[in-house]
Amino acid sequence: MKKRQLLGGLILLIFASTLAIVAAPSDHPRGRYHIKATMIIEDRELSIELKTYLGDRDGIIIQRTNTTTIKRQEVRINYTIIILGLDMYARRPGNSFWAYVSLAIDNKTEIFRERIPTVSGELIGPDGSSEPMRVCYENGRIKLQKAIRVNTRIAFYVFLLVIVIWAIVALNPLIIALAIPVLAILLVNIPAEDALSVFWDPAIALIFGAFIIAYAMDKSGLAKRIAYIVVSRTKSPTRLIFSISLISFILAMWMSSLATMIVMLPIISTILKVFNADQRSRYAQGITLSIMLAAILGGMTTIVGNPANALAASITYRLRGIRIEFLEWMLYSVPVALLILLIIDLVICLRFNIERDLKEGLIRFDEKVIFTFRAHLMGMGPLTKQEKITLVVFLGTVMGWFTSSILALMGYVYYLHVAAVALAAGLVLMATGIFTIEDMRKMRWDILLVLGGSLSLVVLMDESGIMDVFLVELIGVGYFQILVMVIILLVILSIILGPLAGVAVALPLMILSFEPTKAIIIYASILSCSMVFGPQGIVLEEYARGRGFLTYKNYVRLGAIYTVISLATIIPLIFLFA
Amino acid sequence: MVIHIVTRGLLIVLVLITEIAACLPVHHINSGYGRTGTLVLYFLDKEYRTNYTDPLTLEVNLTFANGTPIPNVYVKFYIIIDSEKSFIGGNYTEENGYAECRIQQIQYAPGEYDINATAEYSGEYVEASTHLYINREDTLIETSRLQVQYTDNTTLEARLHTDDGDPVPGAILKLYLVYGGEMIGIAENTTGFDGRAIFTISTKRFDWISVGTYDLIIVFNGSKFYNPSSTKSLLNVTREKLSVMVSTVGKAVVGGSVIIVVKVIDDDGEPVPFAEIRIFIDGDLVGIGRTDSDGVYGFSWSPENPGRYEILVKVHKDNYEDAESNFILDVEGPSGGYQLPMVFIVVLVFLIVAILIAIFARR
Repeated sequence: MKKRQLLGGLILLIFASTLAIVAAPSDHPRGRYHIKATMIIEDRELSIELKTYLGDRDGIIIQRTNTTTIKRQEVRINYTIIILGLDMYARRPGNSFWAYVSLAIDNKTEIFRERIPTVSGELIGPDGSSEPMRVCYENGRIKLQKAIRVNTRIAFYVFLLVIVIWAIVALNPLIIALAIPVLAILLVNIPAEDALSVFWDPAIALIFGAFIIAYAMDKSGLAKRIAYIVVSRTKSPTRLIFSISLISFILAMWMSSLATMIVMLPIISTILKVFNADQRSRYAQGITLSIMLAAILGGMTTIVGNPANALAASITYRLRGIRIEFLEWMLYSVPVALLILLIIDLVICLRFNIERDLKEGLIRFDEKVIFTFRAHLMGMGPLTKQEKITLVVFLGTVMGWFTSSILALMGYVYYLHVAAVALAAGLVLMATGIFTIEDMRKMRWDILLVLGGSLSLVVLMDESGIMDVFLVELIGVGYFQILVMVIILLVILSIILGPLAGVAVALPLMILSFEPTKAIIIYASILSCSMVFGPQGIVLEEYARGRGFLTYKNYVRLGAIYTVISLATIIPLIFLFA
Repeated sequence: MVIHIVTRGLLIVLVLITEIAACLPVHHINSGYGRTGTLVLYFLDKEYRTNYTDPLTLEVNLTFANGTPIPNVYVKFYIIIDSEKSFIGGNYTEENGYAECRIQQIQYAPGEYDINATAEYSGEYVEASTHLYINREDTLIETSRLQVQYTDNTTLEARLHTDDGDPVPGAILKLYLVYGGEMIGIAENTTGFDGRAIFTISTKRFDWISVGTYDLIIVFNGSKFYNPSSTKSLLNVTREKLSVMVSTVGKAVVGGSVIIVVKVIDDDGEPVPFAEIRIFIDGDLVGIGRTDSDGVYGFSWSPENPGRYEILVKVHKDNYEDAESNFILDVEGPSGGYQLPMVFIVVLVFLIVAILIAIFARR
């Protein structure tokens, strides 16, 4: 480890320790508490209190009501505020004070099924201190909630420590991913089943199935064949950039960005060799960057394209009970991603123009080279049995995902879950011998474990009360101000820790502090995935640079332009749908 | 011999006939006319006709056979019902032999009856008979025009009486409402002792009744004693008055949401469901909806700018008078009460420092 890393780590560690001591709130002591709900009717404050205890176990359900009558002329309206909660709550991590509040007008509560009145909640402690409670809405019911803080300061410190280690010490992300549940269970006493069960969350199962399909497409040569089919039909270098980036985009929709790069870079190498490209060729750099950025953009467009998307869908379902369907995700993301791809390809064509390379003799191009691609394609021969099986399984899986979305949109939400479809595809590929046990050993298990670790971080933050600290702070802050702050947090975390961590921390905050639409959630997630300077971009850049046709300088320059374009395109969309 | 026997037989028959005739006190010659020896009693009319419950005067004359009137003889009048004679009245003959029997109200069922009149003078007995035809009595129904507010109840009083003004009790009256050219039965009641029947009309019961004027027809289908009759009246259904109350739930603050609760009741205090509610804020229509079954509608409004707003709620429902209510709502600016999310901001700063240090450390 370098001295600089040690120094930086030390500074951040001191910062984190101070923050944990000063900013983290103290734990909730045992004793008598009051949950107070207040609603303003006309100019009066109508409130109701539920007396409860923080003890060893969860008690029984109790209900209290308070009625006020407003009369004007001949008309009178009876407003009844009702609170329902427990007479005792167990003091343990992961548990929370909760109470359902409803307002009945003339003894009828249905009126607010879709329209929720403003309610404020307070938790009054044994010493008389008052803390605001989080107000959330569950199917038309108002729920007051406050995480019971047990070992919160330790949890806060663990959270900061994870960021310090991840960002500075640059340990293997896998170690951090595994450290999160271990620290959460051993130090914060988060229930093991909560911290560990997320490692086989449906989002992880979905990515696992998608990995098998992507691996089979690469192994069988199907992905390469598709790429060559398109390349062999291209007649100009400029068009080649557009078509090759489109292929990269389409493959990345179903494969991870890195897997797409693994497929596409050998093809690029072949193309550039045929072009007799020099190491200094601008065109060579441009076409390499175009497939790299297209791989990132393609990954944004489906739930399986980037693990962060699957994580976003999973978090939304966990926290709000709302399923984001496969097709819905594509409807929102594909047009945006294609637009950014088109713009970035235009920029690449302008900045990395082949004409200058041709003049300087850095590259050679004539129409005969196209025949070389056709020769490559012909050399691959007819579709092999493995390719055919992989193609059928791939198309069947995509159809299954689409059907699942259509069924869900029709109201059949519990049928044909996308994760089950992906796993079924994996099963078929294993049964047909396309995907073997040896292949299983070569799979990117680290990504799946990092995904599990990110979900475990969400559990830690939620159950220890850290999320509650942020959420309570955001009570009263305007909708747009929250959105701005959360987007900043999302972008920063995505740059430091990658899209998975960005989504894992920022998205729950967004979902719980206000009610974002599905579009906002999707665009927030793809904003996180679009970060080219984060760990995901660096991995791709290092891989591309290793093939010899990319310089760090050009990566940074074009990456900056791309970042500006993607931020300028996606952020307005978030506010548009807000 | 044969002639002798025939002659003796004829004589015997003649004697028998004479003896039998001597035993009979009265001889009925024909209707309305009786004659016995020297007395003659006869009805002035060949037959009598009257209606049920109408008055009836039976008139007879008593004279000697030579036509000399016999005064001060008591004449009895009988009606024959099912072969039984029933006394109905009597009177003394006047100087001219005239006597009458006045019955104030005929209470016998309509039909054909025999009427007898008998008189006795100086041990001599005379009887006359005639026919009485009693017809069903004509009836009339009296009622008045009605005016009622939509959804209200009202009562309609009808009185059934004879053409002489006598009440007809125990009669079934049916009330029909003419709607779309059809007579729709809406009520039925029986008249009391005074001939009155009360009908309760509920426009709420018949949802097809809307504001307007309708023909009401009350029908008496007749009975054994009375002829049928009917009458027409008008039902004028007017718009029901509405009362509106508007209140708010929630704090009117920029960034928050306030629910405008509208409750609509009618003139009777009953909630009015499915009334159309239009909410105007400073003259701009911002919400349209309908009240629920409890007459309540809630509209959620998120004010974007602070200030004083005039909220106008207009209520419309067919068959009701339009109503509205307005009030002033003061919207506060974004509550300056909230504190900066310091922990959140410090964490953001921490992350930015982490980025800077990461760049520094990785160079």
